[in-house]
Amino acid sequence: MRAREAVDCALSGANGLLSGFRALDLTNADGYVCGKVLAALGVDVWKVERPGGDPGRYRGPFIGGEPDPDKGIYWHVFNTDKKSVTLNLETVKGRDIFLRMAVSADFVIESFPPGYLDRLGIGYSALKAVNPRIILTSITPFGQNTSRSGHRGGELICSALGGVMDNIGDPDRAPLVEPTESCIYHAGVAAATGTVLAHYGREMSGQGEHVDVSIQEVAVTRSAANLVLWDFDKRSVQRMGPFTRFGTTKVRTIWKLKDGFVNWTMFAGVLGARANAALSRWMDEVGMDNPLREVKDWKTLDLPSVPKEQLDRWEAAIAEFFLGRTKEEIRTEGSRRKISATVLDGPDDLLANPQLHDREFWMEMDYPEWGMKLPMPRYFFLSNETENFTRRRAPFIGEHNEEIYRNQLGLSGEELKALQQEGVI
Amino acid sequence: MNKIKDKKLLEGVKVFDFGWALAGGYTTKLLGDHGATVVKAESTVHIDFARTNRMVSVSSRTNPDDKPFYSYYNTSKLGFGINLKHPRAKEVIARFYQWADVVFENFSPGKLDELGFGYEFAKSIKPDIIMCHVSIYGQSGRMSNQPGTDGTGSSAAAHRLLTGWPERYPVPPSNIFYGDMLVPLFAVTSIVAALDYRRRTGKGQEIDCSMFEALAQKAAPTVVDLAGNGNLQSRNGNRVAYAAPHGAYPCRGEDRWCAIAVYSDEEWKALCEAMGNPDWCRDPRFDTLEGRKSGEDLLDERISRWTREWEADRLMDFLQSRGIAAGVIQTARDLVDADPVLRERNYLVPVDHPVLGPFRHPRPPFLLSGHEPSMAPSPGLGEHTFHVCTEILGMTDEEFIELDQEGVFV
Repeated sequence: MRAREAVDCALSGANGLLSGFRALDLTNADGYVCGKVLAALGVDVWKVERPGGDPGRYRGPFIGGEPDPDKGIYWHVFNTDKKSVTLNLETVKGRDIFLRMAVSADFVIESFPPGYLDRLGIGYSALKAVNPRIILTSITPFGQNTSRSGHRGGELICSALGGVMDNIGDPDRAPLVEPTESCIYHAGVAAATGTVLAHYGREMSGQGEHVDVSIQEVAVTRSAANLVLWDFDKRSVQRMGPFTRFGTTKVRTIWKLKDGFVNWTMFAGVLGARANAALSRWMDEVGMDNPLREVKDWKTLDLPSVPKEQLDRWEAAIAEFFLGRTKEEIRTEGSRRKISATVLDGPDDLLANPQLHDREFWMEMDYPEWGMKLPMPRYFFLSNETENFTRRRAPFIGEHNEEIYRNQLGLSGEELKALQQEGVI
Repeated sequence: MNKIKDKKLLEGVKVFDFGWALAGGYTTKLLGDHGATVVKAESTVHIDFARTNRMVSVSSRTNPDDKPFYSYYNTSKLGFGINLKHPRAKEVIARFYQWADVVFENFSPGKLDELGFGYEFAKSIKPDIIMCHVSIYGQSGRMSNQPGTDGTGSSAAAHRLLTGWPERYPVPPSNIFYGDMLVPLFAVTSIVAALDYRRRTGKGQEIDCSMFEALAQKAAPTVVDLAGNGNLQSRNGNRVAYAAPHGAYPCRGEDRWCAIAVYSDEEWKALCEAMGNPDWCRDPRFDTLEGRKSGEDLLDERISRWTREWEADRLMDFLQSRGIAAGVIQTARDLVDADPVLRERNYLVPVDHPVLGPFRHPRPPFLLSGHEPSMAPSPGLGEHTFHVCTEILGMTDEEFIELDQEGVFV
């Protein structure tokens, strides 16, 4: 059931892998992704924001261009399906209300500086006291209780300390961060994994636990090849521009096309044999003087034993070949020939991507308040038995105060008004 | 904290694993490290290419069991050598499907069906089986059969085009991954959630994780910016819309750098103070983010002049003590030999490997207060074939020998 019916069916009755569970999401921009993954799985996620709105709402760019906490693009992408209530946790009443919410919640997700919730008296031990089944997931730059716990983080800093930037960029310039908050995203997904594992354990034992995710540490998982190199051989690989290291060889990976760029790597042996042979054949057919013909058997090609002079000749010929091709040729003819080259697509290509179209990856999210529809990803993964889909736009500030405070927590109109006047909600 | 020591988190969960390469290896490693029993099907004819990666000097061309990089991604598994194309492989696989809660695979889409071991076959043997596929583009759609690696997903999902300096080539990472480390987390999340779903409903399912789509989710803000504002984002070095200064600044020593990120006007004032309030800081246009963005070249040049006098570590600590986000661009050496936080959190754990001896392995990337993962060394190729056939499937020695002589096991 991978087509439109699945969505329709899901709209009528929630059938996600974790439908029926509830999470309280206290995170700022460092932690939205975890709650978004849980929400896609069907968890009812309440985004608990300070009055005035979560600080991450102020991150630009904004829909329409002008700063507006209800229109932050980052906010809107990573808070779909969540409900928003405002609550001031720095007041006694606010904390009381939060603990009342925690009694019936299954998860709490937070990304405050370590120790902050404990200082307010609503840390893991307080949560456990009101609800021993609760799982608290903390997403912070360097983890709980470490010598850098007080340090400021964020994407750039965690990427730097995680060993990622050291590996990206041109050798004659500064190291580079990856685009679109890659460390934050990766860590948010890792937090969701830890949370779901803890959930499985809790359903078995009846006991919740504290899941502690360090954004830096998740970034380090990507550096594993460098850890091995240093640990065993005391060697390291720094940034090398458009080249990649594969095994022990440095090979060009990004090539210029007539109208863009393409990713193509010569992998040695069985792994690359078919694609290398296919590229060589294509080079022959366009009538090039093709030095790749020097290779008799691609399956047994051992790149480390190819002399540098020969590799350089191959590289020059491949560069010349790609420079004569267009993105469209790579997408059609290159795919047909299975040369294993991938055009470097941009955001425009992503929206038009035929594969994503076939799988109905993008949905048109309706924003009636602005008279707009915007593309949003519909799922993280597909399943034949459950519908783990995005359905609702991200909430405006306090959009669900009434629904949650009155209907779920049973507060009266007067109580609500009083709390508003006291600045609690 | 009180660990629930008597029981591993996934104890009793049984996984039959066709996974290979990094994404496949890492998915089931995470399950195994948390207590699942993982039987990894491997063969000498279709070898996991992490077993051929000779990036370090201890690794030979002949021994498939001396690759530390393979070991990282294959702890806590049983090695089962089977020739999947043997006519009698199917009866053995059928018995493992009968045993398993979860079947995992990351062949090219369609390959498992071609071998005769796809979801329909699995379901016919075990109606509530959970089967999880990982691939580059997903199991359906016109590009599903396109081959690929980590770089394929990154390139298709706008990750690579947006990395680099505006006037130069986009750049890939030299020796690190993204999709290969990301998509396993979705696979594990969905598998474990599916186990809980099965517990509640009695139903299994077939799960389809695409590396490309996992990465496309990350790029969604750029797509929304384009669709909503007509703004096509492109690579821009270390610069972002919401912070300035925001970059890597040179420090003393050879190729040493410190990243600095200033998100608010208050932090900007703190940075000026840290630099000793030089005259150029008093330019009023720098008082706002908008102004700092408009003068970012000048800002970066001036800050670089100041940072050059500092040791990177000392600069990080100095700026952090003043509430400014700063971090050393750490090298692999820094991570392995020096980083205090990775040590405090026991990120690298010694595991005694039968061929390579004891060496440090990265543990799963989250800490659970109630459960500790444990990593058993990665298996040799086919190391546990006899064990899994006799102990798990209950084959008699005679049955095993007969199949072995026919060449089912490799």
